[in-house]
Amino acid sequence: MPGLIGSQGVRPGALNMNRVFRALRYRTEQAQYVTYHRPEIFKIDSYGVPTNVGGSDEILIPDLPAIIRPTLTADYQRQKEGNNIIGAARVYTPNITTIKNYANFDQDNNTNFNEIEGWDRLITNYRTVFNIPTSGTTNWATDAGVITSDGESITNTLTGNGYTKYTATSKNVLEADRLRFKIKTNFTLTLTSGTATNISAETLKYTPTSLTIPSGTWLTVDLPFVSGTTTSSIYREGTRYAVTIAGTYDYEKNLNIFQLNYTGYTGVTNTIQLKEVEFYKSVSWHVHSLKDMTDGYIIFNCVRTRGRNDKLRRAYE
Amino acid sequence: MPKPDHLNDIERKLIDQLRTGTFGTASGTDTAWSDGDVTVYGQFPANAEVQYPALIVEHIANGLETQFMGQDMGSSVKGEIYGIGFNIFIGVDKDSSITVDGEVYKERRLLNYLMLNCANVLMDTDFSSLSNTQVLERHYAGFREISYIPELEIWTSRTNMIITFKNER
Repeated sequence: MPGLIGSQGVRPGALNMNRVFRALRYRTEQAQYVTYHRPEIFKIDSYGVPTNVGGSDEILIPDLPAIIRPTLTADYQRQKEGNNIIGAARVYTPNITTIKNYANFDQDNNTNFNEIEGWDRLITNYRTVFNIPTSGTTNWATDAGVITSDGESITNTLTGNGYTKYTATSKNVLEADRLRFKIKTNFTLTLTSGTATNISAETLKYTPTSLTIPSGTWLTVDLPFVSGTTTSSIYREGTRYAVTIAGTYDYEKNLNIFQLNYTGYTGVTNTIQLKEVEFYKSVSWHVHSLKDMTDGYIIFNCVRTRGRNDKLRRAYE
Repeated sequence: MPKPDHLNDIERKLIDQLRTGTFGTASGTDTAWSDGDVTVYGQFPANAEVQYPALIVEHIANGLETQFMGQDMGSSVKGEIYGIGFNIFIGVDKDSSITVDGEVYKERRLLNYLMLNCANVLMDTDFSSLSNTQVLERHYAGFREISYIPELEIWTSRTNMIITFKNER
């Protein structure tokens, strides 16, 4: 099937975009996994204005491969009406068929996802602020189990329900606004909560609703780490698990503890693996137009309409 | 006599009133929103991050309104009637909402509510608490350029107003 839009001009032919993404990802940060985000859509009243009644749940799905080509990453000039950091980028993703083959995007699993449309958002990692190391077991602890590392991930061989935690010993993560990690188990684990605790013992608590993680595959969790957020989502196999975020937390205070709490322990061979645990500063690219859609790839023209000025945040708040 | 600082006196009073949506009524005062529902900036925001809904009170001009013979405003006071002009912008993004009489207002409905109650604040701010500045008149021009800006993904509108006061010395 030819391209749907922009059939003029020479086409590069059939591209194995996944291979291109993979090759670029090894060599450059232009290709990375982004998080697809569509905020909750509310029902409208008789006058076309959104109400407070949800119509379509938030979609927040990590691990979408994309190439980001910014034309302007951050413009700090003050704009009329107030947005103080804006930018523009062209984002390449695999074709829609490939995207829908990912379990979270499969419309048989996730009926709310149709395709990437206008004002949907692609959240990219602008900069990793703090990467919790899983190449060794230093500072990792558990109340029921034994922690080992294979150099890439840590494995907690459980002796019961409880927690796995990392003591960060006072790390500055102020600039971070998202938290991401990958988790894998060999049994059906219930992730009851995750917490971030700062050096003043203030705790930000993430509580998923009935999130079970079955044996076998890595689940990527990508959540906001920013004040004012009270709800978010974890998607597994296209099903949304609502996450409530609560707690008094001063983001200017250094991070001290990252901890996951769980239940579901069934026996002595139960293991939990964690890797790629990071607090990162994100840029949310909003889709403003679709430049091209071909068998091989899709090109979106995106803008960023918001941004934080971290030096002012530290000074003013 | 304290040093004349009427421009700051008026600007700060206006920002304080807009922050809580406070305006005068026949029976006293009323508030259209609570402190924290709306963020008021005295210039285009240079803050860490813009918080919507936002009101931006931009001081754009000031100058003489009326002069008197010999600059005399009384037997022992010199001065003139002076004017200060503001542009006031409203910005509402997709996530903005405030609760009015138990109902959640968003987008266009919220913008409409903010515009009318901004007008109420501008027309009925009680400047009598300013001990050093005597406000005489206000001329509010009405909101215009009411629109949605797709590039910035915000609903917006703009008005301007002039306040005149005695610039005594």
